[in-house]
Amino acid sequence: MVADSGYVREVYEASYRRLVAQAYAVTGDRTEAEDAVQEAFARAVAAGDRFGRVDNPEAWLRTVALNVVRRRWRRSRMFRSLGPRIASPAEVPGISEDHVAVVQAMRSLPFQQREVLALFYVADLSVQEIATMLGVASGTVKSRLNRGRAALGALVGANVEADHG
Amino acid sequence: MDDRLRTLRSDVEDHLALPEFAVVQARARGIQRRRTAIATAAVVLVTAVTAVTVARLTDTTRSAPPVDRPPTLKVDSEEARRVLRDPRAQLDTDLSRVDGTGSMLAVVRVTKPSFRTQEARACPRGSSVLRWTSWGGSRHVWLDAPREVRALPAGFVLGAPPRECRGPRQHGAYFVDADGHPRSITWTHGARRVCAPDPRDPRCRFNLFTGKGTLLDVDQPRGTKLLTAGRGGPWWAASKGDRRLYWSADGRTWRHQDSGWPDDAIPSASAVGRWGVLAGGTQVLFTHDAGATWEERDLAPALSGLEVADVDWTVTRRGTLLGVTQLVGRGDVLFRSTDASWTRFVQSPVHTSFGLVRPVAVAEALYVVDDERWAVSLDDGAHWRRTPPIP
Repeated sequence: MVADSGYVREVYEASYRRLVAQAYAVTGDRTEAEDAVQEAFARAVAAGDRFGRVDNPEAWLRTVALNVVRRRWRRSRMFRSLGPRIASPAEVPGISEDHVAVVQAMRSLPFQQREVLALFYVADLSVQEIATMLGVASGTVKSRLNRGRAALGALVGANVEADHG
Repeated sequence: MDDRLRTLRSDVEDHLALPEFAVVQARARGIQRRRTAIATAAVVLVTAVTAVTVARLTDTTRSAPPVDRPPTLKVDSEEARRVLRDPRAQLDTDLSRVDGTGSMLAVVRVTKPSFRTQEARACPRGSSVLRWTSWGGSRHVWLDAPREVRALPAGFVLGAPPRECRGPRQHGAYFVDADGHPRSITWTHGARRVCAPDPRDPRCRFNLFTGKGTLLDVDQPRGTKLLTAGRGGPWWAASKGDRRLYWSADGRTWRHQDSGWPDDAIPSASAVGRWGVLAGGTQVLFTHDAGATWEERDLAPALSGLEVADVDWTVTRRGTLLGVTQLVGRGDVLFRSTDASWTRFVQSPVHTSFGLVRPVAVAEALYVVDDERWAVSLDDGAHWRRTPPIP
């Protein structure tokens, strides 16, 4: 497998939208999500051959994109404490109002709960995969998932089924 | 709720446009440029740090002048007084000095019996003190390692202790000012290496007002000993046999005067300020104008009434001539001219417990080393005063 721009382009065309959807669930802002995913692909291009040797390129890109999101979130948290947010978050034009409401509700959750909910429901990762990716115990992932769902349910006014596993 | 979350992805994917891949490529180029810039900056930084380190190691003139600060001294502490009161305490006559104002810096040591090596016994911790005593009677005493002491016109320089005598933070030299207080020394280039271990080196010049220690650049004639180093007058040096005096205005170009005394005469050479004296017995050849003119004189008539054998002569800055003669059964006898014209000499009432009298002139002061209580004069030997006893 050749790790050149051509290979990255293939992965880009196949995974870009999926990765943005996952990042969007975390950030609640389309612009931020697209920016983080584009940054991950740019790093893949800059990584050259090393990216070609990665077993699961999409997982690699997801991790990079989430790291970008997490770093920006930490940085913005400081500025947010200094003053109100100036611009409202950008939405994905055309998606259902239900989904917009869910994303808006997720924005009010703690970042770690948001992250776990997005990886579990939107990225379709198992609890174990999420634990490995985040470097935490699976019990921690379950705990964050439960709390996140409960909080989200309360926020959107829906009952939450506890069927994760 | 779960369904809403699970269908979120497909809804977003369906409504999301795929940007041109060129956008990603442009960002990748930006990342590579940033990485190149960081790598270049790192190389520049490492090169700069290396260059600065190498420059510091190799260029000793660039660095700030070295400063020797006095150790933390507990002046007038009970421990120091206890050493002074020890019945075994003795004045170290080799290290102690009197400065030009008549103040004395006494190095007092307690020598305890020991089966250890000679070096270890030389500097037992807490058993040596320095006692400063002013002409007016003020005193300070502090525990310190024994050090070489250089007397200044007003104050002292205490050299760095020998390696085997160094205690914590006792590795440097320091001044003791005219009030008996320790002060730092800032060394000029190359001075510390020579002058800190032995500040008595005539090439070392010290200025208590500026706090500086300087090593003078001297090119003295081969086989000579440097007598004075150009402070307020010419530089003086004497041949090893004391038969020739050299003088110089800059320490590099020298002129000389030979005594021409017969071989059986015991010569002596003395010089300070603008005065230089070559003597053989009662015959003297001297200058009072820094070598511009020389005059020969037989002092025998001026010495009439005094019992004189071989004489060792010393001239003071004010031009008083002091002579020491050794008389069988009476030890050394000191006599002095009553004025700078040397027409009359009188005996000085100074004797020592071991019989030897060697007058030492420091600026305006004159002193004679004794076992314990030294004789000090501030008027060229007309009047003498004994330094305080120990304790």
